[in-house]
Parts: sequence; structure tokens; C-alpha cells
Amino acid sequence: MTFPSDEQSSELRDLFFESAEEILQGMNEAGLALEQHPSDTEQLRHVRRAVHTLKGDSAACGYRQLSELAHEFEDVLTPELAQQYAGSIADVILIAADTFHEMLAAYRSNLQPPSGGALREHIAKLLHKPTPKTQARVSEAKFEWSEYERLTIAEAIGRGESVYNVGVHLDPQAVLPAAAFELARKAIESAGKILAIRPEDSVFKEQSNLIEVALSTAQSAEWIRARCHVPSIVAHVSVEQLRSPAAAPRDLLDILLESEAAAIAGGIKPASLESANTPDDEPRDSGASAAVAHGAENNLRVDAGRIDTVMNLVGEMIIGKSMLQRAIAEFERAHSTDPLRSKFSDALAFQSRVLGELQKSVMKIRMVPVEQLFRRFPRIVRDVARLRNKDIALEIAGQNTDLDKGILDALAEPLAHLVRNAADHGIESVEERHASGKPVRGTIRLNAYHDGDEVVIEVSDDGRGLDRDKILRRAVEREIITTEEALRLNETEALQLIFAAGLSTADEVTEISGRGVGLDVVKTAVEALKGTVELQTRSGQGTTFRLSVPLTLASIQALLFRVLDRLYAVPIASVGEITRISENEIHCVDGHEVFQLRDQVLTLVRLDRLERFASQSALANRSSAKRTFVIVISAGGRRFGLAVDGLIGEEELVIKALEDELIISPLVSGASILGDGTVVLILNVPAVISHLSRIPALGATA
Amino acid sequence: MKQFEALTRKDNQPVRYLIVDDSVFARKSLAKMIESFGGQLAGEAGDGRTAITEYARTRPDIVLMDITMPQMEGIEAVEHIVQQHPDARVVMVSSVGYQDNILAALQKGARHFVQKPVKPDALYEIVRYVLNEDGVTAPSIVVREERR
Repeated sequence: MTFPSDEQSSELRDLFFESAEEILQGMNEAGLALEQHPSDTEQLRHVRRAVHTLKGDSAACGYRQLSELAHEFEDVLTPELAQQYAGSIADVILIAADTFHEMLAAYRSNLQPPSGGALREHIAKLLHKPTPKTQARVSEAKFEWSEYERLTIAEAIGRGESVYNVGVHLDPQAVLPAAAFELARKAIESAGKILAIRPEDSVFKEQSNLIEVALSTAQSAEWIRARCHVPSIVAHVSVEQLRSPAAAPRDLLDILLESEAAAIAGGIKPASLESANTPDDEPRDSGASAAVAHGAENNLRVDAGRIDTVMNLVGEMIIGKSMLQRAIAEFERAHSTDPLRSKFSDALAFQSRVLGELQKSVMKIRMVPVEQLFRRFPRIVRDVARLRNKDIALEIAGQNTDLDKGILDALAEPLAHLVRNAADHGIESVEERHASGKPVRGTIRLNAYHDGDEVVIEVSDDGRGLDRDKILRRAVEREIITTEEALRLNETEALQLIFAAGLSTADEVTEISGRGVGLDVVKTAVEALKGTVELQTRSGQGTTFRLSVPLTLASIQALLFRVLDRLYAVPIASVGEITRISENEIHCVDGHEVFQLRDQVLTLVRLDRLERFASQSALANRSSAKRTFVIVISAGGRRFGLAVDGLIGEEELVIKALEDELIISPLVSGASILGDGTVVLILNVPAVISHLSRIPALGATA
Repeated sequence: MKQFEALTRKDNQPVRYLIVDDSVFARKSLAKMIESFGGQLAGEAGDGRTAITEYARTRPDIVLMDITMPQMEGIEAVEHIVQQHPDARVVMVSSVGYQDNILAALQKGARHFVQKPVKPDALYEIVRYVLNEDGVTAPSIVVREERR
């Protein structure tokens, strides 16, 4: 497929980028296959065809550098050369895929593409040509942070921290480059908190004379420049402060009032399916539609935005349905003998059924198989295994499980992090495995399946497992918990500590996974999707991370309840059971309210007494004789009881996007509007759980 | 010898140095240099072990430490000193070809390094930077080039 070069409409560009990413994925897969079977000429022909297509397409789009490099590479991919260099051809193909990917990323954001010098050297080597002397590489700082890192940066800015992009250019004349690199890194580390860094490796690489870092610090740009300008080592330092489009934090009350006002005005703004909080203005790659487009002619390529529009309209219809329901209920009360009653309810039942089908069908359009995500991981595992001299097999199951595209995209980085971690830290070295009598080849398993309204994705390894004592010791060292608390924690709670911010430590830092991004970011990302992360580990036998996320972010089946005069909702999936207790069954242990449910003692949570809701606590005045409804909520391996003043019932809620505020008010993950205009706050269950472990004992505050 | 604008501590006292090298000549030439920086010789040592006791005795602001020495190597001495005095500011002085050793010393807590033969300008800048890192010098030190 070629396009007329004079017609570079953005639609064609988008099409080009989509198909190019497909081509690169194909190259990656072929490269991995060639690594196993170097003499597979069919795979080689496949790569050659792919590169040829890329060459033509990019030339048609006017991307000259990419086209030229692809051309040079295509020339090398002859069966003769491949046979001659059977050992290294796979490597070169993978490097080529990476290089092309970088160039595409640059084009996509209208930047100057990298020269691809490393690839050219490899090509020259294959052709027995001396490497053309490239001028001393004056690398330009580009700060191409991943989506994941951008999220971290945006969050830091959201918290009010000052974040700078700092480029530290090492003096090419400096003696002892490795030591220079080390010193420069130390200087950077002393200048503030590192949110993202390139090169990620803590080990010096010959070819890099530039360190790029996103730094959070209270100091001025001038100060950073002085601190990073290490004499006789650093040639030049660039500092640029990053600003976020994110709004300033707002109070929960404001959000509430705003939603109410919006509801009253009738301007119902349906939930957005994409998480809209990354400073990400480049076009989203829609691999979903790409997969569709490459199939038979019966398929349509549809802009994702159009599907969102339909989805949003369906959301409004659901709200409309509940308005109608209320109206009919009122009508029935007022005219209990009117024969119109049954006609109304028949019509309503029919409408509800069709609406349900409609919603499901639209949701299905947005669904893509998790395979789109899983197929990236063989490359990651292979790279880590190579670098660490490990033997690791990757087994993938359930790749046909469907998931909302927006959720899938948001899971990409956290999952990659878990896979990298499993390969790097989880699986032992060949020697260690041999010594402990395990098969030398370690296995990482990826699995996905549906579980009710949720999709579960598991990353498991058969490695050494997590050391509970070590985690506890470190958490105490880092003052995340006190020694007394450590003694009280049960197994699940102790393991959950690895998700605490700041636990990832220096002795865990390695070239691959050590870059200051801990598991806390994984947890944060999953919880932002209203999901949970669970973890199982057995010493010497391996670790499993289980991520559960909702099928869709657009609506939830929820249980509605009342505390004082406010309406709240919890996802029905997290409700274990509902019980009633009287006030005298509530006991105080360690200053926390608890109650007994059969053989288990559970913490009792009263929303009106939690920190964020404290302003309302003055109104709380209950008689002790009254029996209270308690909703038992279980999530992420923990259970607690929620005292409520009244149960309203179960209802499908269309989630309203609260945009930035969604993240800023930790105990509430969103809001919804009922048919009669009432605002319902949706409780963020994981946040309440983590809040529980932090609330001071009642006695201490009283 | 060229004179530099004096580097001083925050309290305006001269910066105190401990010079560690097994070569007497090297110690003398470094001592001359620090004198030209307005510094004061707090102590000298010819091997790593003496360096540790001398550090504890004199508590200098800056240590200039050779890498290869009898008794105890510079790296080991750095490790000891930094362990006992985490705020110790040690600058490694080494001959060419000790890349790995330098790297090890930096990882053990040395603050910077300079290569033999030591150039006064380079050492001056390094000392100034290392002192500034902890705010030991007065913040308003004028850079020489600007003064001229």
C-alpha cells in the first residue's frame, strides 16, 4: 500500500503508523523465531517483506530517513548473508525493530528521528564494510518518557511538586568515562527525587554521553544546574521545568456540589472511557482497529471516538431508563387500579431488555483480546533472560480473553513491569535453580480469564518466591511500619507491603527493573481502574500476581446505601454479605471498632468518621439500641464491615468522570447520577482498605 | 605557583585537608596546591591505615586519597572512613589505568576523583564543588573567570 506523497492527510499518517506498528510486531516475532531456528528462511523472507513494505510506506509518507534505513537493511536480508551470520541475524533484526520503533515515535510527535547509527554499524558489519565514521555523537536530549513514566510525573506535579527535565551532557573528553558516569548519576540523585531516567541502567554504557532525567525537587533550576555541573566531567546541563495541564486539587465538597449542579441543570456528562489524566496529546495508537482492519473485507475501520460517542449515549439512556422507572413507580402508587399500569411496565421491561443488549453490543465493539498486550512480552522476557544469563520460558494462556481497550492500554506498563520483575528477580539464576533441584529453565506464566464482571490477569513465576521476613524487615527499616505493627500483620498484610511506596530498595535495583519505579506504581495504576492486585507466594516455589479489573469503566452494578443523608455506592462485586448488628455488639479493640461475624472479627468502618468526611461527624447521633445494617466488603484479600444508616438497593450506575478529582479524593472513585437527579458517590474500596491501616486509634483522636 | 581565590568554610575559617599518598613527593606537591587554594594542611598519611586514624584525629574538611598504597589500599580506607564518618569528603587521586578502582571507590562513598598528574585548576574546581555540595563553603564564592 502506498499513498500519494502530496496527500499527507493526518488520516493517512495514522493509518501508516498503525500498519507500521503491526509490521514491527511481526519483525519482533520473526526475530525471536529466528533466534530459535536460525536457518528458517521462511521467517527471514517474512522480515524482508516487512522491511520492504515499511520502506515503501515510509517513503510515500515522506519519512525519508526511515525509508533509507529500511532500504539499507533490506539489502542485508539475503538468505546467503543470513546463513553466514546465523548467530547474529536475529539480534540485528530485533535491533532494527527497536530502531524503527524509535524513529516512528519521533515522526509521530513531529520530532527529528534518531540517526539509527547503531543499526547502520550492524549492517556494515554484516556486509564486511568498515563502519562509516559517524561524527562524534552529540546526542540531543529528547526526554521521551513512557506513558507510565509520564503518569508518574503527572502525579508528582499533581501533588504540587516541582518537576524538571534535566539533561546532563558528559564531557566527551572526560577521563574514565565509567567513573564520570557514576559521579554524574550521584550528583543527579543528590539533586532530588528521580521520577524517570535514561539510560535506565545503573551501569555505564559506552555509547551514552547523555543522561536524561525527570527530577522532582524543591530547589531552583539554577541550583540543579550548579549541582549537576560536576567539574571536569559534565560539559553542559539543560534544565526545563515541567508544567502539568492538571488542575489544582479540589475539595470533595466542590466535586459534590458541581455534580449536583450539573445534575440539576440536566447537563449530564457521561463517563469517559479513557483515563484522561496523562499529559498525553499524541494520537492514541489504536491497535484494536488495526487488528480488525487487517482481517477480511467485511471489517470496518472505525475511529475509537465514534464508538465512545455511542457508548456515552447508551449511558444517558440508562439514566433515562431509571427516570422512567421512578415515574412509573409513582404512577402505580397514585393510580393503583389503572389498567395502564401493566402496559407501562410491559413497555418498560421490553425497553430495559433491549437497552441491556444494546449496551453489551456497544461494549463488545470496544473489547479487544488481551493477546494484543501479551504478544509484547516474549521480547521482554527474552531480553531480560539474555542479559541476566537465565533460561526462561514464557507460557501464555487465555490470550483470547476480551477486555476494554482503554483498560488494556492502561494495564500495558504495569504488566510489563511485573513481567520484567518476574524475569529479573523472581526466576533464579541457572546455578541457583540447579542447586535447589529445580528444572534449570524457569517458567513465567501469563494467564487471563473472565470472572463475573471482572477480567483477571495473572503473572506467575516458578522462582524463589518472596521473603516475607525480608519485606517486613525492610518496611521497618524504611519506617513504613513500626516493629510492633510488623508483629501484628498477617501473611496477606505483610505481603501487601511490597506495594508500599518507597519499599523498593537499592539491593533490588538491577539493570533491568531497577529504575526507582516500584510495585506501588503498579498498584496505583490498577486501583485507578477500580481493580485490585493480589499476591500469592511460596518460598522456593514462586510468586503469582493476580490483577483483577472491571470489564468496562463505563458502568458498574452497585449496591446503594445511605450514611446520614448522603447516598453512596459500592461495586456489587466487592460486597460479601449484608448483616445487621446492634450497637452493643460493637466492641473496641486497640481503639478501633470491631464486631464479630461468625468466627471472624472484622473492623467496622463508619464513613462519617473517616478523615475525609469528618466535617459531617457532628451530625452523627445514633441511639445505641438501634440495629445497624453492616455491609461486609471484601477486596484484595481483606474484609471489613461498613456501617450504613439505610440500604437503598442494587442499581446499575453510569459512572461520571470526575476527571482530575477522581484521583485526588482518594476515598471516592467517582460519582453517578440517579434518575431523579440525586448524586451518588462511588466508594473506592481499595483506598478505604489502605486508609484503614493508617487511621489512628479512636482513643488517640478523641 | 598560581594563586587562587581562597576557598573558605562557611565560618570563614580556612578549609582543612588530609593528604594521603605513599609518595612524599606527591604529598608535597599536593600540599603546595592546597596552600594556593588558601587551605590548611590538617594531616598527612603514607598508607590507608594511618589515614583512618589521622582522619579521626584531625577531622579534615577534605581528604585527598591516593589509590595504590602499602598497608591498606585507598579504596579500603575510603570505605572505613565513610562508614565511620558519613559526611567525610574524600577525593580520589589516581594514576592512569585505574578505572575500575576509581569506580569502586566512588561506590564506596568517595565524592570525586582527579587523575595524576594533578592539574591545580581541575583540583580547585573539584574541591570547590565537593565543598559546596554540603554547603560547607560560603555560598557566594566568585568564580575566578568572572573575577578576572
